[in-house]
Amino acid sequence: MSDNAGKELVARLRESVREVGPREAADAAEGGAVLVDVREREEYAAGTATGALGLPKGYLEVWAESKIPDKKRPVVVFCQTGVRSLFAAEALGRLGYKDVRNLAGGYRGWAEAGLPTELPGGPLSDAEQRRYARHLVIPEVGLEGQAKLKNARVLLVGAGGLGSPAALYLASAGIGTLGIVDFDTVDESNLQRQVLHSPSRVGQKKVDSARRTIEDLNPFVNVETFDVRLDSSNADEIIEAFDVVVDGADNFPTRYLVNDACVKHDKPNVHGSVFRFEGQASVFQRGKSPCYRCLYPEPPPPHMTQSCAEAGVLGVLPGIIGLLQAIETIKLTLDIGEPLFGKLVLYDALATSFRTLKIRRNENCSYCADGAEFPGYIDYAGFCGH
Amino acid sequence: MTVTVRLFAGLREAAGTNELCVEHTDGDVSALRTALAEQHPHLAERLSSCRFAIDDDFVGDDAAVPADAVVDIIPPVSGG
Repeated sequence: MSDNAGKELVARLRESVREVGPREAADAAEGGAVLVDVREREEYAAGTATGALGLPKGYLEVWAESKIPDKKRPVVVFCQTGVRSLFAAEALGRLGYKDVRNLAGGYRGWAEAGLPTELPGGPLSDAEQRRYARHLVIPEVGLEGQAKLKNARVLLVGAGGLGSPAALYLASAGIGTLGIVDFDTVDESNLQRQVLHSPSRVGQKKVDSARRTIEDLNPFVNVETFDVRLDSSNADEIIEAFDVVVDGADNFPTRYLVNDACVKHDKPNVHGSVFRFEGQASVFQRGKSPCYRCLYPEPPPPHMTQSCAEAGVLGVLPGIIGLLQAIETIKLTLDIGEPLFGKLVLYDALATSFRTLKIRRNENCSYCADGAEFPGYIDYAGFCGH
Repeated sequence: MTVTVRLFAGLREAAGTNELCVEHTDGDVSALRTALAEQHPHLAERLSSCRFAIDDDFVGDDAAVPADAVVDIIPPVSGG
């Protein structure tokens, strides 16, 4: 083999791979082609062609088919100067992609031509990229996904048994803004399950305690607190400003209110509820699943309902259910997998049983039926007999 | 016929058992609810807000209850 084998290989690839200039590449992208940046993750993160997919050359064969499922879709690959991407183009051809072009001059040529560039991780700093490194290597998350998490606004209704584990994990995973609505103060009897709070916080506002814990855990998270009881006078303003609502309330009136407000504002309502050794979880969203009222049209009579304070609840149980809510929230934010739409997970800790029951829409639901006009908020305390 | 019903959460606690047998003359979920309330009056008041599921599928009051059915009765719970 000659000493120039590398150069000869590049020359041969130049003959077999179709090459395009920056303008032509931009036109192709405009016409539906996918731009693929095959440079290393750090290079991509420092700036790339606007709209380009980051697919490092080392992962190309492994990720390509999940990221670009349509092999007839034209692909324009690029690296920094247009050499490495020749090999990527060849590899994509071998995988069966029909129309692969190489951007001659690479990203440098693109930028010099004055074509649009972006930071694909949005404003993800080096420190954030280090923190979320184990996310960035998952194709379903990556820089784009981490940026989605960072841009997400998630509201936790209640910083109690369910809200605590959900808040800890959502904050750790990089949800950019966590809203917390809770009017209560930390009580000693909360500490057996409400892991956001600690003995030194007893007597403090739960929202303040939650903020301190979350900011300690992940300084990149922006915490917005609402030291109020969620009611029909403030629900619109609070819920409207978030993308996903996590229902960790501890009473039926608030749960029906959360449902109605989420239906009104078309927000996903990630539901969780617990009783002693058992828990329930689901995701409700208008048009995509039944709503809470389709599942439970009416609350139990008030003297038959028991809160955690009255009935008791096993310490770890809300952790399991709150984390189901957290992971559903992550899935919704990243738009991956199958959300728990139309299904109720029923967890029985004593039997160690997880069951998934199918929920159907109530076609006559006064809140979420097709074409139903929002009937307005009701007297929730009265509805629940309080 | 006899229908087996499985109970959950507060309903289980009120009944003091996970499972009950209900003598049920042919009919639908609504009739089963009535039969259960008559045979176990202390559960009657709770049943109105509970949902019934057959074969992992929540069903309405007019759904038929097959002879050998095992019916899950799920109450809403509010704890958080």
